[in-house]
Amino acid sequence: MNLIFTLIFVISAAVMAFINPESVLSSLTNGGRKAVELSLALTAVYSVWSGISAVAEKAGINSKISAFLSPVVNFLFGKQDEETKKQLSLNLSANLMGLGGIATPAGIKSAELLSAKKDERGLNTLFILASTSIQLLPSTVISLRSQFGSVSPSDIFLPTLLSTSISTLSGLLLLHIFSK
Amino acid sequence: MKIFSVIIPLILIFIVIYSAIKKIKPYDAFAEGAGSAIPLVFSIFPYLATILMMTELFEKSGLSAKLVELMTPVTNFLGIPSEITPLILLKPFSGSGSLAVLSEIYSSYGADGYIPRCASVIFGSSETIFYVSAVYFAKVKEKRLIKPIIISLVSTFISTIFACAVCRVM
Repeated sequence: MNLIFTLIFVISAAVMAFINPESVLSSLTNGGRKAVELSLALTAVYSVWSGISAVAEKAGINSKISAFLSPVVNFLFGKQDEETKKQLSLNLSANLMGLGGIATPAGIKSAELLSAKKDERGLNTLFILASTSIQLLPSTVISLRSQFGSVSPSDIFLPTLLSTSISTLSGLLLLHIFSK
Repeated sequence: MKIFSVIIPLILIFIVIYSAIKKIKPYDAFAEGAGSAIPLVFSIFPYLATILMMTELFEKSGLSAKLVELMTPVTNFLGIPSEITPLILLKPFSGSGSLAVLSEIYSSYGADGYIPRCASVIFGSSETIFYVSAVYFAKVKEKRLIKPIIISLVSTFISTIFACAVCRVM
């Protein structure tokens, strides 16, 4: 990531220094402003979902989800302790339903727990599952298409599901090959 | 689509009722959970800010447009229409940027037909990989990101080629 950052930063800033030097600083500030706005929005989303998730946790619902998804988690992540399994199950099930507000906090906790055990394979699996986005309902796309007057906005459902499954499967497969 | 919008309220109601039956204190539990949002956002902010500044430079410098130009012959060869190439390049970096590209595709080509549908499938089946990496690895001390990021990018590219093929028949 340090290499990618250095390359993009240096090349972009050098190009801009030639064409439009004022825009370097204003672009950076703009990026910072986006981060602040996004953080505020995320705080609102996470406070709702972390609140709900804490209620579910105390009522024992999260353990039930974890028990239900246990075979999947065992298959993907091998042997893990109860708490890690619970966070991973929450992350997987929420990602599947497109609930980023639950998936992301649980994903961050899972990553923290996995890295404490130096489980790099597990960390990579978690990241690949999240970044190849297995999601059942592409709701943003469907609502945007209907705004633009599509006759059947949800007819991309099946191709999207197939395509996202292929990216997740090939991600897991590539990870398996390159983890030896 | 109405059915889907009812699901979330139903889940929320179920959780609160169930917790009341289990005799836990939903008000206290909710407040405790809600409070954890702030330290969480605090811990991801440094990486979020850095990634978004990098993305902004990448777009504003015209570097991303230049890369699209360079990639076009390759993507055309693989059956990806050149109208869609900017979307493919931008999506891993920027959710809002790629959403703007998707809207532009809809306003120039309509929301139905091969190119818009293909763009929809690509948008819906891929993620903002760099953003996800910034957030998920925020609390990981030793960040070894290069291998997982490359695997994700390659897998997304494979599914993109697949999407362009499948939209011709489905």
